Amino acid sequence: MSLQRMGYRLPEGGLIDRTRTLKFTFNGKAFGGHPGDTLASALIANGVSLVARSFKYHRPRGFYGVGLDDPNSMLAVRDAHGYDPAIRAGQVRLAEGLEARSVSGSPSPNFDVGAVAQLASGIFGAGFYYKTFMWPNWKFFEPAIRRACGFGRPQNEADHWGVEHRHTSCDVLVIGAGPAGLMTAWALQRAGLNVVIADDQPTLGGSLLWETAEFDGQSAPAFSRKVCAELESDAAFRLLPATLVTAAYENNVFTLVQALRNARGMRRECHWKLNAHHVVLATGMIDRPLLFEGNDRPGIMLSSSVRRLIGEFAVAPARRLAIYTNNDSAYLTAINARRAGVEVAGIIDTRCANAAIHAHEAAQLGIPCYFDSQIENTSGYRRLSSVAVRARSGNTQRIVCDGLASSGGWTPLIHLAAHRGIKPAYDEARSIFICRDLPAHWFAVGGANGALDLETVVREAGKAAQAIATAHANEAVRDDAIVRDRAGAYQIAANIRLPRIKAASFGSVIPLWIPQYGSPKKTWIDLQNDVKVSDIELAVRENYTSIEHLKRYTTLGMGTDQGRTSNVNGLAVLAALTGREISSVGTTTFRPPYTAVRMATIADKRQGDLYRPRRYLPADAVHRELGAVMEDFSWERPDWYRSNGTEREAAVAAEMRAVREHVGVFDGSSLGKIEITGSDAGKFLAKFYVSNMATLKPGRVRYSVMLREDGVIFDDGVVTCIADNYFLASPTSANAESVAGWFERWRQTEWPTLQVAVSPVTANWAAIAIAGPQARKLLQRLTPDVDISSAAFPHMEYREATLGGVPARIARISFTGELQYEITVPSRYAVALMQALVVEGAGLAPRAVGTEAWLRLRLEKGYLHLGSDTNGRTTPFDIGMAALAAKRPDDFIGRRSLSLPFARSCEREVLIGLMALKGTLQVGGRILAAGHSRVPCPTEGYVTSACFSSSLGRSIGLALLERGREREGETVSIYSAGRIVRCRVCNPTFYDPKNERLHA
Amino acid sequence: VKLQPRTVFGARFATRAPVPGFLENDTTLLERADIGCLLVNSAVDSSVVATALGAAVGFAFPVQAGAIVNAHTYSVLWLTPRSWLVHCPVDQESVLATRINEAFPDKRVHAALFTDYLCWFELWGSQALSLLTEGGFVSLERDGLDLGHAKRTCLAGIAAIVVHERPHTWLIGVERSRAIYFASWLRAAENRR
Repeated sequence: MSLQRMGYRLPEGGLIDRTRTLKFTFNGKAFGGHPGDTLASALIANGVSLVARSFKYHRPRGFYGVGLDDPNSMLAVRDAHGYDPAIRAGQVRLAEGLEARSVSGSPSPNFDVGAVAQLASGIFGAGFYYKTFMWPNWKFFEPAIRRACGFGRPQNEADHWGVEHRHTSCDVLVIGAGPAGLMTAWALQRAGLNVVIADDQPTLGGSLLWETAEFDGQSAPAFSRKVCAELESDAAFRLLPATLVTAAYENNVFTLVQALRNARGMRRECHWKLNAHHVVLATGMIDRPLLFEGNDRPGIMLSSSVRRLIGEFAVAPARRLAIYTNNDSAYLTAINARRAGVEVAGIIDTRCANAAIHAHEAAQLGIPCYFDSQIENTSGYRRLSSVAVRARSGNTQRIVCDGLASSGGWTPLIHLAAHRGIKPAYDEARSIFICRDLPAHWFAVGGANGALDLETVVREAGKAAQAIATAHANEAVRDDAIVRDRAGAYQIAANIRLPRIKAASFGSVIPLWIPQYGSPKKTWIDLQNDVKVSDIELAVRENYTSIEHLKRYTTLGMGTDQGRTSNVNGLAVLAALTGREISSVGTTTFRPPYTAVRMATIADKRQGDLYRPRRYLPADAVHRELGAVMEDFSWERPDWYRSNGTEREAAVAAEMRAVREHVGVFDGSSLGKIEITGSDAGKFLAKFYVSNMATLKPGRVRYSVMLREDGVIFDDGVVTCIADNYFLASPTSANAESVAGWFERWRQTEWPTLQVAVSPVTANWAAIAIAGPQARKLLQRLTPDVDISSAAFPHMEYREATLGGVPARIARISFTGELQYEITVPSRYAVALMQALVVEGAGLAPRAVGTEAWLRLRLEKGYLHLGSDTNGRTTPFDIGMAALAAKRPDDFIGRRSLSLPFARSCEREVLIGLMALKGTLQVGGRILAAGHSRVPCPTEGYVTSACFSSSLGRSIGLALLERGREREGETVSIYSAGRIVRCRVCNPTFYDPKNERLHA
Repeated sequence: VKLQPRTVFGARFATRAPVPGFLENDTTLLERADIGCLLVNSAVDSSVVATALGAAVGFAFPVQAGAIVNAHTYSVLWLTPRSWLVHCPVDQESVLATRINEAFPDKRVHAALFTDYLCWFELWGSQALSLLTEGGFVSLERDGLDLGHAKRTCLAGIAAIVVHERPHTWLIGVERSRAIYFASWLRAAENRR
């Protein structure tokens, strides 16, 4: 008997809009479908059965399911709005002009040269990669293997998909709008709760859209429409169709991805973060396939997918369909198919006739039933052509068919509960994994809870609704709250009513894990990753008996489908092969997300400033007027000013010259400002800094570093004592927020009894520094109401004053080695102050100074720049603060670590100065070990800061050098950018070593 | 020399002005430079000092999470168990700070000048909440952030103080250096609609 082997569109039925036709292409060939179709249903309706090749053996692959459960149909899809390099055909709603391509098979899935791999299948067993690609290394083989796998290629051009993010809270999140979810939501009406219902399909209803059932005398789809309309009209309910709940996190926070489509495809995605008080897990269940030899051929599908194809899309997946089952649900597939006009070749049931509750109805429709039988093997290459059936008696017969619907039981979709750390438990009676314990305020209903008939589903939904409503009303939940009324409807509470149901049950299942007949080498468990029963046998022989080890060794369940159809079969086979119970083998760990989510959707497609917010100085406008060339230090800060020169080097030199000879104006507003107050404020600060801040007197300023617990320098800066019990800490710009957090963390966790308060006020104040011999004169022009003479206001002191008519804080500190004042005013005056300093300084030749010049000036002075001159190992001993640390009688954070041998080793790299004898020093240059003048060779340190010093007329630098302090005067060779520069090791203070200028 | 104040968006200080470039479809965005601010931080638990603090300034300091107390031209927002944010007329900021700091010479309580730390936005309109929730959970409470309540939270990836001032009216305080970013973010979110 020959067959025209293909699926086709049924003449009637389904929820598609037959009045309109949508044109699309697959692998360049034109096809048509209808609104309401998925790409999968439209392709099957057009007779397309081969869409991909498998991962390892390049076996032909067809549609195995019609939704997220399908391991085979990953396609590259382009619609009017964008391109997806790999998405299941069942996830794509058909749109006009859609283009789909296979992503595996070269040149095409129909003829794939990679199929020669099947000839060598004997050596491609489990662990093949680990055992084989050892030499020269994995990287050598990786590109070719990646190409052969076929997971789609991204494109270079930007998509036009929009993205939006939403955050919301609700009383109840119902996940899944199938019978269980809809019934729960329906029962919750009038409970006064704010309910969100999310379902991955664009039309709510789930299996109500395609299963045969009656609710209060209405068909399931009609009842579903009625319920949805009622819910939609209720302001307390928010319906989210086409929305997949992708992950569950602590405190009942969920992420959801909603697809917003129009006639031309998916135009945007909305990424939701949702916090729910109660959660209803109504995600349903999917069919679990049966294992048999040759079970991977195109044409073999999950039984429930066949029912959905017929019921929702009016598509017959085959001309002549056989059914293979160990339970009663597959009989419903046969009955539905027959009633839809599809020829059913027979039902092969592994159980005896007595167990089959729908066998009589099937027989009445003329469907042959083969009890106590198993499929021994199958035939066909690009499409199934027949199955060989062997009865327990030993008789074998071949059934000609081009489609086979397989059901070996069910797999409840409990992934989201498992994301919360719940371990699924095995239920022997139904041979399924369910969640017996759920997170607080969660309810699993329907298929997700293993319910096998609609009456149970509805009862569970009502019970969950009652519990939620009761909890909301703060009443006790009673288990006996559910009773039937005279009409047979479930009556839960006076205002919660559930419908009367007429539906066939899924009956019972007798599991069959390892088939009695056929070769394990041709029996597939994971269709995407080509994992067979023989691979698990091999893994067990090699002692990979933990399910987690087995997964990684064989790649079972590691494909894009994450083993939705294969994991349970795999672990059951492992249990059987190792003589264990399935419950003792357990499951692998479920991790979010449930299925792939686009990175762009998570990132919200924000770029530039919208991705990483830049911070602007309060005087930003003035800097730009002065021609500042900005650099992003997370703060937008002037690097140099075009008003000082057209080229960077010339401008920087002019800015440095201004500071050394006249006066420079530098915006240091980004430096941290944290007010520390309270009777224990000094004691508190002393615990953080190497210097003892508790002894700091009002009006005085002190520089120090703070350490982590391991003794490594974490931050540096000055601390000002404004008044008794009132300090101002000034951490670096980059660490301002983390230092405030560091203070707060220690205050709350270690020293909660200290009377201290931490107030971060960085942005409240603009800090403009003026430095240079004319700095005092410039400050005087702003008419301060305090004496600023050197005697009255010496170096490292602080004054509060009125300046330019506004209250200001003035600190006399220096980062440049010159006379310097740091003027702090409320940020609202930053623009005016910056302008005033430049304008009012006429005659003193003030210049705005950028960060580069500022850093070079401090380098000349030999001052440390945190992050440049320190690394993740630098301690205070390495920067010459050993004496200071030793002087401290009391404890401070990191002190204990400084007593450990690593900190006291004489081999440590310490900060030294370098003066080039000839040539130019560069940051990062490696200091060659003594006795070496050519590379490669051992090195003893590196250059941390370097510049040309116009004050000294030569290239200078700071470096971290092993035993550096004892090597002053030594000449070293430094390798940088292909050249060797000879330098003399010297004291790091290059400029004004007697500090005469800063004390001026 | 007399230094003149300026707001983040260049408007006259102590006024309320529309933020430039914000499309006024369903929502309006104002820069509220008329809000003076103090950060009042306590070195001990707030319940110990709240009464004394209230007596010093003449209005109550709330001790309930998220609560706001309004008195004359002042509003006191509970921020943490040991800190409050006080809204006051801009010209009252220093006066009020001095009054609090003088009442606690031992620095058990400290009032820090804070007007320039935060840039306050007023977002008004039926879509205002929807716009804000693009950037984060305005509230995890089942009924949302109650009218007249405030909280510190993360919006658009930055820290913000959100005050539900009136129906459809939200005050959002963000750190000054990030105000331009936040306005751009709101603008981009509004434009996408």
